[in-house]
Amino acid sequence: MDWFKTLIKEIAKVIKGLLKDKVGRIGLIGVLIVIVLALGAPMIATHDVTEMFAKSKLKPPSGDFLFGTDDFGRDVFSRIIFGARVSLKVGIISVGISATSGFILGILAGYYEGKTDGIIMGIMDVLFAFPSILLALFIVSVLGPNLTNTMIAIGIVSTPVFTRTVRASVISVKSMEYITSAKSIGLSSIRIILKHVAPNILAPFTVQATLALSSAILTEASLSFLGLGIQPPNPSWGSMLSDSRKYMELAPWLAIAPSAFIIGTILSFNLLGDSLRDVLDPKFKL
Amino acid sequence: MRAYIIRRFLTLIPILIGISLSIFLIMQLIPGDVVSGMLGIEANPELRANLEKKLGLDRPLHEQYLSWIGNAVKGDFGKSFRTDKEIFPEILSRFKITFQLTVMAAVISWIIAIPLGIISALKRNTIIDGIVRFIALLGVSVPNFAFATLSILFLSKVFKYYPPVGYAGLFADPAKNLKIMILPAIILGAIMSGSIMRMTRSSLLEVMRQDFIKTIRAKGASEKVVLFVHALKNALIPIITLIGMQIGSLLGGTVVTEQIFSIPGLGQMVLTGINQRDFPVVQGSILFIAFVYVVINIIVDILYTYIDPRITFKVGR
Amino acid sequence: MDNILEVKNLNIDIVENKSTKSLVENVSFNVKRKGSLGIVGESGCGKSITAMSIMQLLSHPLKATKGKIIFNDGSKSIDMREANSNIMRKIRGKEISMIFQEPMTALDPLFTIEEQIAEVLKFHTDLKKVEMKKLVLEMLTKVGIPQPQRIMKNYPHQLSGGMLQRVVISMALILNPKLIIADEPTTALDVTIQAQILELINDLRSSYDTSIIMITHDLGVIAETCEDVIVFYAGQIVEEGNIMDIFHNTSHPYTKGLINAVRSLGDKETELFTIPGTVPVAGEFSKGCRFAERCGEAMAICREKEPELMEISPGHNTRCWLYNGGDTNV
Repeated sequence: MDWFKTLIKEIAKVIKGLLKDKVGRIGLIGVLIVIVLALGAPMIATHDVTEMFAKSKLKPPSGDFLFGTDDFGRDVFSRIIFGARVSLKVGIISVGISATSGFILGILAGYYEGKTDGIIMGIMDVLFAFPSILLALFIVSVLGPNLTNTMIAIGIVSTPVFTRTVRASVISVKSMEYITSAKSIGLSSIRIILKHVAPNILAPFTVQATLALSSAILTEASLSFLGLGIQPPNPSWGSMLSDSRKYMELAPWLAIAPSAFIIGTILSFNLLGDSLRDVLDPKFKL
Repeated sequence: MRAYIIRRFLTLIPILIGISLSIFLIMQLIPGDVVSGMLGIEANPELRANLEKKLGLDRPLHEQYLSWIGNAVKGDFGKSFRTDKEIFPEILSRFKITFQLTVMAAVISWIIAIPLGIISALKRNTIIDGIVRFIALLGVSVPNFAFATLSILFLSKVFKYYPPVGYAGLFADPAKNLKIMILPAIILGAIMSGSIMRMTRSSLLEVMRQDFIKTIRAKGASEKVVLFVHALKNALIPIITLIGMQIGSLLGGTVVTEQIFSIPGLGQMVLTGINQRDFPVVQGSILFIAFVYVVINIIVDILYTYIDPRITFKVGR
Repeated sequence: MDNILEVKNLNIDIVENKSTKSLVENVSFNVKRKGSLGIVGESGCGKSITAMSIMQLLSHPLKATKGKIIFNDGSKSIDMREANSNIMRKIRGKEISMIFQEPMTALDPLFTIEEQIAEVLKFHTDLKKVEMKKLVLEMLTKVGIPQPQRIMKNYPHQLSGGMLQRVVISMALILNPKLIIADEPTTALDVTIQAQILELINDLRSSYDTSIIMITHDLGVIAETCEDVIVFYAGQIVEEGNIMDIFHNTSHPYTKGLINAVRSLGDKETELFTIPGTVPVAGEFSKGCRFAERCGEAMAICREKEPELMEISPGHNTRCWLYNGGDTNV
């Protein structure tokens, strides 16, 4: 359990570093707010997200409807809160997909080199050769637009970045002398690699995951904005913003609330990522 | 140098094969089949067979791929399911529009980002630096569709300005064309400028810390020479990489912008194709965009060799 | 006045987050016209930033906060700390020039050798392109670069460290400056190249009648190039004198340690001698002598009270209680 204790200690140190940094503090608070909204959505939301109040369509913000209502008479505030849930879920699961597959592919490519490396990195290069939104759009449109496919598409699109980081780290660890000496005492080399790669990679991996989360949330919002992500009646910030354009003159609050939450969330993750990079890798600090 | 350029273009071949193959394979993932998509599930079997034959869907997969890619190389992307029109000429004419939007946006972003990035680096840790960095962070964090929607809202509420409707070609009606394109270009450019600003700042700071800057000062250079002749040229190298990548992703980013401003570019063509399940159109236009993206990145790599004499020595990744 | 440069009571501080730490304290020395002064000390002792401060090239958070740096070229004398940036620009590269430690990083990777040497001429003269080219070629020949016609079209990454240092030297000497500051000019080079570069510097200096400040951690380099020596330790001068004083009449235990370290290098029989411990960090100096912790001859007073720099024979000063005439009262 020693490694566990060190891990906890390291995490505590990182959090302390984040709190010391103004940028990190703001980012951390923003991210925490989004997490609380997402987890506590059923308690925070004031109305059912699909309930339509026929008599209160396109009503401006009021005590009853904090952010007003949309053209179906649904409560915008509650939809925003549940939208946080969708955003975060898509972000976490798709980054989970890409981080896991990126880790495995990176280890394989770096460990075996040669042909395996060539094939894996070739595929990654091909994925990199598409503008990322376009690739996600394409995959979703082929698989059919829904929540699961959105997560799969975003997961695939952001895999190459992780693969590259892991592969580079495996190759640099492999060339170190202590690997050769560990081999000579008979440890199986894939275990050595894992043991040495893991700590080396933790810092860049964490930073990358944070930034990948922000871009996953952005991609989901973009897809939903185009009508190819989360499907109605599920609330998604992107599709809410897209729908708002029909009533821009009448009901500007429909555009403002989702925009503010999309921007705030992505901004928080970016701030957190920036600060994490500074805390974890002092040489980036300028 | 020439050998390097040729070698660089040769790497295009495997990448393009990979791209076309992956587009082709992803297309196979379509649930159900294309024909039922077009004719409906209960279509008469004879009709189905006819259409399958016409589309070449009765042949084995590898034959389908080879004929698709063979024709694509010749500039034949097939015909649209919906309109029965040739796809490639349509792609070309729409690409001109997207290209215009991309170039305008890119130029606007450089005009905003590079001077601000330089100022930010020179005034490091002052209020000005703080403001610039915050703007840059917004640029990185605000999605272009949110910025576009809010801008339209703001302009209409405050200035009673409404984006013009209907499109006019650059050469057909330049004044109207610019009126239509300028707002989306500014919006895309402003969003793009965020990361260029950040890159300019950090890259310039990095260069200013290098030893050779001290040498140049010790030679008696003015700060102007240090900055504009030496530091900026060195700082430009990573900025150019970023610009290359951004122009490529801008080609994808225009999908949203073109949709919002009803600009009949390539992005809108992809989206319409997707919504109408017009797969030859989707397949063709995505192949084309990916092709342009890769070519832009190669051009950027070649541009490098003119700035950085070290490049031709360390070819490869 | 027979000094080309007089540094008086120079202080250099590092100013960070409102806290100020002193890196160089009350340093004074002179460089004689056509003379050669060696500044020796371990890395981090303040010798390099002293050199940078002469050129007014310290950058934030480093700052020369007190003292005078007077440059006298025979006709006028200028206090560099007071001089504005225009005056400084005219001095840099023309009157005083520098040779840096790392030739590999001292040149801009994106410009040819010719462009970078010619730049000095561009900043300080109105010569035409052809004339500049001729001068650059001459200079490259003088510093012993083979095929200078070809080499001057090359970029820095195409040349070896030794070659690059020759380029840097030609850049420093092309306008025949009155003073050269060489900051560890041979440290980054191969041993065989080191001797060549030192010889080159010596030859050029005597044929150009230039004064030199040689900054190094290597007493061997000092022995080969300098007439006068100052020894730096933790931001202070601990011993100064001419080369005979320093090598044959060594007074300060730190200097003795440095000399032993060099001697043991040449002698394979004895174990490599090193001074135990590490240089104390600025801001964490004890109240006594800064070397006391590492000194084999430290006495009680050494840990209590800081010694002054005092003269033990004409021109030979040391900062050590061992030479304080037996005044051991605290």
